[in-house]
Amino acid sequence: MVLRPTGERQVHLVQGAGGPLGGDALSLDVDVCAGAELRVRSAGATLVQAGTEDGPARWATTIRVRAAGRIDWAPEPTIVSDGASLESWLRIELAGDATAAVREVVVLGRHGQRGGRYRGAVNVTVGGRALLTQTTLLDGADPALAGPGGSAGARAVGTFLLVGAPRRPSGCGERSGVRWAWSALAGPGDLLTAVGEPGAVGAVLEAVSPG
Amino acid sequence: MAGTLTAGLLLLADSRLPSGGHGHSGGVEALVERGLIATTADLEVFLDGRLRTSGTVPAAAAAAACGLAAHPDREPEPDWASWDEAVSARTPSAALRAASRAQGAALLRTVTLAWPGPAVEALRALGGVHHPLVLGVAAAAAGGTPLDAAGLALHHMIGGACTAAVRLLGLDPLAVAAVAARAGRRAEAVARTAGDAAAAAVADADPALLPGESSPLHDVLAQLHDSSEATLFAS
Repeated sequence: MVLRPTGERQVHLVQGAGGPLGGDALSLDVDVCAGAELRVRSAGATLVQAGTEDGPARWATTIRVRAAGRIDWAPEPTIVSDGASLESWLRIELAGDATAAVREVVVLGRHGQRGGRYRGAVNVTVGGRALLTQTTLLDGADPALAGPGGSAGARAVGTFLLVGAPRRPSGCGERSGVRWAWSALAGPGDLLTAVGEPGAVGAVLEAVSPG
Repeated sequence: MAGTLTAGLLLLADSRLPSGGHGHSGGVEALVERGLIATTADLEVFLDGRLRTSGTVPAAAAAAACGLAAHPDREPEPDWASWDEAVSARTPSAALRAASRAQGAALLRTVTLAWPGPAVEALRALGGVHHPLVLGVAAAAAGGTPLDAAGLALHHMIGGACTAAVRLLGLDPLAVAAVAARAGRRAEAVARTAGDAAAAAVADADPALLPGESSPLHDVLAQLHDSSEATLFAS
């Protein structure tokens, strides 16, 4: 994994050779200085595959944004292939007047697969107070987690978090392949969640957070 | 640390205790409307998934509240607002936060008369607190342990979903009772995990240590359900 500057305020995450694989442990620390803005994108989807090592792939990201700073985080989808397992941690600490736009998409399996296991913990604080603490469990091979008490057969989950946006978004809807809803959080943020087929989930997120 | 089944705990487990729970389906109505739950077998798979994805937060919050309330001479007094905020941060759906606060208020009215005490008064002073915190404080006042409180939270999650499924789908109540019994046995492990996490959070007086499992589909459907007018249940 390398970081490549691709603009004045932008970096791309670029995957080296394939991966991550089971047993891999990656960590990324991002520090956005006061008044600064950073856009983070990725060169392509992240494909998590079962490795020869036991245990899940682990990926921990910590983002700190100082006063009046801004993080715009929107890597390409993470695909968890059959037999693979990913544990991901995303911790975002925002100063009271910092702003954020954070997009994440997880896809269970490549085309024709039911997908592996994903455990994603998201923890967002604003001015030291908890805004969002959410751990998502997905497993295409686990009948309970893929059933009506889990993802109900959906292969993709996308989220888009806005903190400190001038206009608070709202709305919800459902159409073939996707169900989605905005929700106001108990603090200065809003969360869009979309659940469904990968293409339809991507389209919902693309409509509100293009590129 | 096995608790004793006191008369108070039996009352708290009884769905006939006025608590506002009858107006909520635990997400079952939205799933039934979309054909995602149609049979007793669907209900069983649903409960298995729901316990693991969104059972731990209410169970751990109830256990923590029970632990905090069990020592009224604790210094300093529990910062109940911070525990309430922790439940809010773990409930991204505004509709589900409103449902939890409404049921918390309904249960608190009963608890205030049935088991008055300093922790109950603290929650009343705060106003509009989340249901699992009220349940945990009531469990403590009724002589229960944090594990009992976690078990009660999951018991009501299962019971509310099963009652709603019978009403909405006309399922065989006897078959559903068997589903509830099996789900209750699976819930014991969830309650223990939640109770352990709650004990660690209470020991450090740090609500950030509470678990945060949630279900994205449950959250989306709760928002869709809330925006729909013709529904039998509030959530």
